[in-house]
Amino acid sequence: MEQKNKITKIHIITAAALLILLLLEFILHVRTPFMKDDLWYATNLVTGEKIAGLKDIIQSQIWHYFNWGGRIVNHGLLQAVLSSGETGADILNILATLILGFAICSLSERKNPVFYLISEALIISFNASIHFSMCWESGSVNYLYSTSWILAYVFVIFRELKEDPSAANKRTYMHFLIIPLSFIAGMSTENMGPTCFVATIFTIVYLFVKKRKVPFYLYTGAFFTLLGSALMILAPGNFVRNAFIDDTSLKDMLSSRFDNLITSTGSFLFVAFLTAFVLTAVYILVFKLKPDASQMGLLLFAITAQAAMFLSPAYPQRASFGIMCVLIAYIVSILKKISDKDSKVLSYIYIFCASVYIHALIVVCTDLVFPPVLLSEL
Amino acid sequence: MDDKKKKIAYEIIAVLISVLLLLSYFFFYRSVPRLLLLVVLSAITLILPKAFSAASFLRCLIIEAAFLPYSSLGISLSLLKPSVPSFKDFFQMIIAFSFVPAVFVPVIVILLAACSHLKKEIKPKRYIPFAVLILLSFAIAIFFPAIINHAIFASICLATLIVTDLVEGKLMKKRNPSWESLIYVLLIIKYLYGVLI
Repeated sequence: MEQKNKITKIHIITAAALLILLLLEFILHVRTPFMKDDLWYATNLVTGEKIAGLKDIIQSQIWHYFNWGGRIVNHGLLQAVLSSGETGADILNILATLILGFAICSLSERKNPVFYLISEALIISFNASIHFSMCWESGSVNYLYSTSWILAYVFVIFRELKEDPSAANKRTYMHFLIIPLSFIAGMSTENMGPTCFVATIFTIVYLFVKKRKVPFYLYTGAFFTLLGSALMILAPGNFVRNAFIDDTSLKDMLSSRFDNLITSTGSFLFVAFLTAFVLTAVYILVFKLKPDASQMGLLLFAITAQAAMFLSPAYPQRASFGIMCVLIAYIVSILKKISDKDSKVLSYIYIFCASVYIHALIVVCTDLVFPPVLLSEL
Repeated sequence: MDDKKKKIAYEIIAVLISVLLLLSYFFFYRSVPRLLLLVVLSAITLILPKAFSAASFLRCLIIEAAFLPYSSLGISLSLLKPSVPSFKDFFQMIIAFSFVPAVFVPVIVILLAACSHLKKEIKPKRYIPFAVLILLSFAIAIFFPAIINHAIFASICLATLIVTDLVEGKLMKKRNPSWESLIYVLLIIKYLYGVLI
């Protein structure tokens, strides 16, 4: 009875803490108006008129594909979100944040309020730029929203690494659901899309090596993630845009890509990687647990997506969002297994939760007290 | 290779990497006093856990090189004027300082959990003076804003003392390098970020 009361108290405190964090985030969203690219995407890209319906979005995205770039899934959704107005977009952003936290917890197999709060707090605490990855609408859809369906796809394929093969045979609906899910995951962003393909191949190879049956939908998933990524990266619009960029020498190009990787690993994603690596060392050496295939898959996914950014000419802070979320899923998964192994460390997990939560509050309040300069105001 | 030979091999490798790291530090910063400060701080940090080995020194050196900011430690006395900060100035101090707990508190908590699992005797009261000094340096910096960089520097030194005590004094005692080396590779990348970018 006492234990039950204690758990209820913890859940109430967790719910209250989550509400406070989400309220502050909502205020941030309200204080961030549509700006920069939002103003352009709020219109039909062909006619310049305000978006009136789906027909305008489809027309815009066809033009976008051949003249601007391949992220038509993200930008199509962006146009739909923008057409809901400022308040509608703010509410959708908060819903997307809630869904993302849920996706992280599903991937780490821990649907528990405390771990959910840890996920939501880490999304803010580890974030290199909450303004451009969550509040600015163009960034929000490209990173906050798209990471949810990327993680949903990863959840579906990594589930095969854990389960009894006969369970896959009972999910006939997956053979149909996997097509749109893998396609939009492949078409998400230039590093995460191809990494979804690599993750699928990893899963297939792992099942082969373990002499387990590979469900057919994994092959479908591999094909459509590859197709989505290829269509996105090879979009004619990318080449039209690149024509405006000055040529650089190979030496300068390699030097700038190297700098980008060092900056992202040593700065944007440093704390996320550090926490993940410290937990890995403690998990293996102290708790004597072996990371399972899905945990290794998550860590390798993050490292592969990070390495893939070497191929990108630019690496803004917001581009680290997806990798950060995969690392958070890995961290929560490790914390879960540690707490299962030794329930006495639960109090340390609560302290960990409190510390990341307080830092998340400081980060959100920073943007509230010192709003990032809006370029529209310059 | 038997354990004793392995240990000697690790110690030799640790000495070589330490020398390389110190040479690179001098190459980038061109400052002998700064180099000596790094060596002395790393050596002092090992006194608390009583970990006197080349491998421990190397690990400590990497942590100090990665985290210690290269900010000027000299200060003109005329700048040491007390002032009561406005709310925004106070909040800016919190933002500047929040790096220290944001990075170190989760790591320290994980290490304490690990020590608890191993049933290693930890006396949390041992770290209270360090926590008090960190808060004190923050409090002083609020009223003497000119020393904010010094306060952050001191806080990072104190935080690394706690981490080193847990790692070298409890977790790495009588252990050969293993999976935790990945953490130090990441810290070297952090160090490179600090010197190259």
